[in-house]
Amino acid sequence: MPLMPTDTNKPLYAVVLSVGNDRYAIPVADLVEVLPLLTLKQLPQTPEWVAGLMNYRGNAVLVIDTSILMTGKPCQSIVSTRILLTSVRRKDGAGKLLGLMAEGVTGTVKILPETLRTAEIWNNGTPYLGLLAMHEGEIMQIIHADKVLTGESLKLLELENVEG
Amino acid sequence: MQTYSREIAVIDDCWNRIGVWSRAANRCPKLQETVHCRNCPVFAAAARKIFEGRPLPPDYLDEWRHHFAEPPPARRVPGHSSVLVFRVGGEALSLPISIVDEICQPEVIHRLPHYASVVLRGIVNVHGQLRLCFAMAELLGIEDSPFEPNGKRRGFPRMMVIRHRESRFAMLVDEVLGSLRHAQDELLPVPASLSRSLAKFMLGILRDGERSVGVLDEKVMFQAMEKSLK
Repeated sequence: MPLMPTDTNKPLYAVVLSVGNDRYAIPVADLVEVLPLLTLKQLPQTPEWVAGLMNYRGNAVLVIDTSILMTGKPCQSIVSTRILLTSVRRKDGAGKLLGLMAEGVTGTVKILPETLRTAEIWNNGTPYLGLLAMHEGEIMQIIHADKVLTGESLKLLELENVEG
Repeated sequence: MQTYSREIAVIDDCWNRIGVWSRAANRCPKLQETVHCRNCPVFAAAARKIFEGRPLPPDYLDEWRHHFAEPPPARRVPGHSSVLVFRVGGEALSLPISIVDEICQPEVIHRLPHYASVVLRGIVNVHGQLRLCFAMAELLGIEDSPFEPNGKRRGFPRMMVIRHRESRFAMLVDEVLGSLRHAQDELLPVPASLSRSLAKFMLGILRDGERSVGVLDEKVMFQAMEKSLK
């Protein structure tokens, strides 16, 4: 069961993003940088939610399309679609950069701890989804960057690591 | 492109209907709190929808790809210092950014009876605190008029709040131009052609592209300010 690894007494600052019609939030502490959309190197024969590889200051960074991953529809090519660069920990403990391409990345929110709720349903297929926040009348779900990497994507990252 | 213009069309421009740009008798109740539409989250959200929903300009993707493929820009280098560059008359001058507390619009200056000189203009109210207000041009003896021949004031006059020990003063300048980082060895000697009255305030000159920026010695400046109070 996913649990928020954050201090529950402090407000949580998070970057908002959209998937479909829903709003999600990813804690700023998980992020390295917010990047604009850019040309990616395509990776043939990978799951369709792998958007490609980017050259980030000389490092090959895998970028995942969160919209395909979660709804099956690719991110639109518009200005508000951005790449959230996160730092994730692999099974072997090594830190690794991962890009999450997401729509509607338009700002940050301050989530108060008293507005956090636990979802009643945990879906084993979506371990990246965390707590819910009630923010200005909207339900906002918190995403864990490190949980997006499951099974296949972990394997991909490790492959890439051997080459580079 | 078509879906984009359609999306803009569905935005409710309430600011024209019931906001500050409308002639409606019954105005939006939110104005009680926000005062002006530009402070309202509805207005901000609409703006975001318009600007953030734009299709990508041509070459956008490749430009950013090249940008982030480059090594990161150099971080802070020790031995560098930052100065705030401003304009007084025709001179571009600067002070260490560390002594500048804030830059604000010029406030109403209250003259001090029997005390005000050309250098000490009076007192001003900055966030409820009274500060002595000095004119940088007169303090440094820069005579170049801030007025153009047609009587219009040149540039964007600003008031800088600067800190000296525990005190804070307001200083009038003709324009704030930005900040500049420089290494110690980039500071060039003051040219002999500079008027002696101004040269005594200067630590040196910095080259910033085409422009040369005078770096003021804040200690000399504070001494001159204190002298003007006597």
